[in-house]
Amino acid sequence: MRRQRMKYKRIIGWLLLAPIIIWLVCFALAPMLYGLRLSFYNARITNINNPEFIGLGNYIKLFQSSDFRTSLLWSLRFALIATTIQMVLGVIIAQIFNRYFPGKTIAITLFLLPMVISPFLMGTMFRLLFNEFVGPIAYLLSGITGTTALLGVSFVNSTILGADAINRTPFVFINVYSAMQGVSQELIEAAKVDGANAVQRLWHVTFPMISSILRVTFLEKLLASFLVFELVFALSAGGPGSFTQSVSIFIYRRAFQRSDYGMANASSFTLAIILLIPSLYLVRRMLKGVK
Amino acid sequence: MNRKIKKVLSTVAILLLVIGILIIFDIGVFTNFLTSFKSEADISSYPPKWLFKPVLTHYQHVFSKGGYNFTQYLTNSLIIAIFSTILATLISIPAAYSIVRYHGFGETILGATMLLRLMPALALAIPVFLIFNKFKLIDTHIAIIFMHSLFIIPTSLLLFIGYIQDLPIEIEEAAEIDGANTLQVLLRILIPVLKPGIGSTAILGFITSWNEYLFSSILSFKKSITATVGTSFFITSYQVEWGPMAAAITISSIPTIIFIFIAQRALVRGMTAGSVKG
Repeated sequence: MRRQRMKYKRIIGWLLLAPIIIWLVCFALAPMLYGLRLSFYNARITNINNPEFIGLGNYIKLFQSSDFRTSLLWSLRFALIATTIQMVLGVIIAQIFNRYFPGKTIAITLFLLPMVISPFLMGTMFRLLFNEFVGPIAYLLSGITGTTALLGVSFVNSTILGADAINRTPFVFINVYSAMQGVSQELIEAAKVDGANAVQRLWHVTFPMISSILRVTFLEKLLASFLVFELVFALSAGGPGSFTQSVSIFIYRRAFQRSDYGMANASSFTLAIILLIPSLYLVRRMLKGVK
Repeated sequence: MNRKIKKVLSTVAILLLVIGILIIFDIGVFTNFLTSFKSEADISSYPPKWLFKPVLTHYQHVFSKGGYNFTQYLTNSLIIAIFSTILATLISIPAAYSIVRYHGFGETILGATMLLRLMPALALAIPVFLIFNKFKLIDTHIAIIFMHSLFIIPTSLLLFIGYIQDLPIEIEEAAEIDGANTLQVLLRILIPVLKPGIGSTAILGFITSWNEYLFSSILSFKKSITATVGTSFFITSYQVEWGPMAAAITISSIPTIIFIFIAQRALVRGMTAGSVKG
């Protein structure tokens, strides 16, 4: 009787999972396996129903391609710089917000606003605002930069970093801010009594308490920035030329402009393998958090 | 007295700092909003004008321009966002219930959906494009709905797991003793208690779908174009129509702006799901 009940329970558990399993298999696993298979073929739009098997050909071509290497380096550099800037800004702003002041609720809402707007819309918006000839923000900044050509070769990287910081710092902020709210005020008061100044309190009291959240946020942000696509695609489309070609834009161009699907799939799987270990680490951390 | 003055001064300093931060972070959205009300001449004036006579021509143009069917794009976005959210909710609730109450294989599924969230979207986008192309599903609502629901699921699942964990198991056990089967427990007990949670998860799902660009753009070319994708059509190789573009962006971001004001807590909880607890 009891055994039968256990068996019955297990079946129910599976049945409840059935829809999500079907979904994952149909729309994630199957397409990915198909993509993996195509990465070993010379698959163009003309021969997509009957592609030619070329083994590791795409991968070999990929590793010899300086275009791929450049875009990989661009993304890596971008990820490191953007994440560092946003972590620092996010922590500073969270520290500023972590006290009472009038109008705080509305201030937080306004600060989070850029985070909820689509990165693609953000990018398109900034493309207008940073435009060399009509961009109001380009004009405002020209006092500092000496030129309004903020999407030209000399400033485009900084412009993208700035736009991304506006779009994504709120994400770091809200993670850090929620964590800081959990740090006991008594501890901070005690440190104050002991004569620790604001920086010391942040460094010696708050940071150790929120270090695990800082680590997870940093890693999550790093992975997301490494794969940055929509914002850059809308803002500079990888240009001028291939100057700001992130690795995602490289893949997009291979697939949808040159319709070289084999090569594009080979690049996205190379990317997935690079990202697999940090991703698995993050997933394990998240699973622990869920339990 | 001296202390009081010091306190007021420090509050003023903080307020000035906060206002400065808000100006930097919101100037883009605000300036774009202004641009959408500028006349053609005011947009291209140099130096840019901050005071001008507002006009509505760009908004009229967006809705009446030949070959640019913005009303349809907005309707498409709405249909796709609503249905992908419904699908994702229908899939996530039973899965979350199974993961919390039945254990077993559920955790692997949870891990897989979270891994999916971190993987390069293009690794999925290219094969999906080719497959849907084969099945003649490109430029249909259903194709985009399927893919968007897939993106909404990881966050919905995490949120529902959180909500269900907070519920006392005793109610369900009592119902089971009274002879209710699992489906009845789900429909009669769980869903009613989860209602507020379903609402906030749905808002997040809606926004995720509304904002999505990559899949919406590669899976559509005419009939199923969404508002987010449509905003880029003002950039052509001949010219860029800044005014209408700013107007289209403003209209397309209205739903998200409304939601951040009325449901900030729900949005924040969803966007940080997974990482905060980490």
